[in-house]
Amino acid sequence: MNFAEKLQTIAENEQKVYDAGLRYGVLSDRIRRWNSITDNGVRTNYENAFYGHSWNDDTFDPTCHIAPAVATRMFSYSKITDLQALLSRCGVTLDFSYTTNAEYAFHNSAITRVGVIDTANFLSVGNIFNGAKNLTTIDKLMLPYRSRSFTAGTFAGCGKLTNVVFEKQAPVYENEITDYYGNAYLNVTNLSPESMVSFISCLYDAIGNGKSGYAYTIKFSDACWAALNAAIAAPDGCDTWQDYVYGLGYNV
Amino acid sequence: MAIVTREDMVSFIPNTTMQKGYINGVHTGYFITPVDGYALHDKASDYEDPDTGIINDSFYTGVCSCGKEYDFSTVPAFYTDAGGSVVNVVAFGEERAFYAVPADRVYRKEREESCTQHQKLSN
Repeated sequence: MNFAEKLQTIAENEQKVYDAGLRYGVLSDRIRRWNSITDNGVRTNYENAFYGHSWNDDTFDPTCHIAPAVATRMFSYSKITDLQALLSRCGVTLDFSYTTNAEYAFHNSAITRVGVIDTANFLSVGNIFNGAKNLTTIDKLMLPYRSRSFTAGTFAGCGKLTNVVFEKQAPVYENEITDYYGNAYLNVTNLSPESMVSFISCLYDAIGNGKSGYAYTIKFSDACWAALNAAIAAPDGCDTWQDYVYGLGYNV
Repeated sequence: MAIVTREDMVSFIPNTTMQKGYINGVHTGYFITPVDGYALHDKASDYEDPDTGIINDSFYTGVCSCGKEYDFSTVPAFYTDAGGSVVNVVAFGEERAFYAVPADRVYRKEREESCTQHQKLSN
């Protein structure tokens, strides 16, 4: 290697060192920022943690797993879109299985998709999705089993909600998917027939288990009922899915 | 497997049709459907807007059901809707209250709210 080649190699290596340092600096800044946000990964109270327009697809880039015990208004009014894709891109998880309160967690946010929401320890599902007008997909909503859950406001304003996989957790009680008065509301206009069947399959069969039923009400929008009846035949020889749900012991 | 059947009956709620609902031959409740051009208010799914505190009434053009404990044959009860209008209902309870209104009235209300917001923005 002659002198000119050595100078060329030195220049190239200098650039590589500079680039590596830059990458490390940016990365370490990000790690420091998220260590601060998450109290070095041990934070449990995420009330209002990502509230507001300043949280978007660029600013929400967590470096560690998030497991909130309190998620009240956690993403309210945020401009984050595909939350699940962002979490996957960052290689981290958002675990709700320890959460007890998630009131208005996604209220009026721009979120289009969330991943698995495990509500096992929720005191109430309450108004978690209220006003999430761009929300189209909930990968899986694992229903709680020890509390009254849905309110009329749970999905209020979720006009684009289409795909939800509902999953029931044992033990099963008839109040697991209803509110204090015994009502469950999925009063959204675009919920797919498959999502509706997924929800209905979680219903406790009060009549089949020898109870009187009819203390509980299940509300889907007219458009959803019509789409379901057109797409999938009601089981057990019922003329409509409303009749089938009524036959389980629920008002519609 | 429960067998659900319906039996037509005289409707006590103006602008609706009503049926008795039966499970395995036992009368268990009522099905109420608004006639064409009308929407049925079901108080059970009214909800409060968390930001404004406004109670939003819920309306359906399809069938709603209620338990047999609702008495449709006695004197009308009165209910004040979110717009402050008092309407007659003949099925009223802590959770459920039914009355039918012209469907365009429901949508006109939404348009009025939209116009009001637009005016506020313009101002």
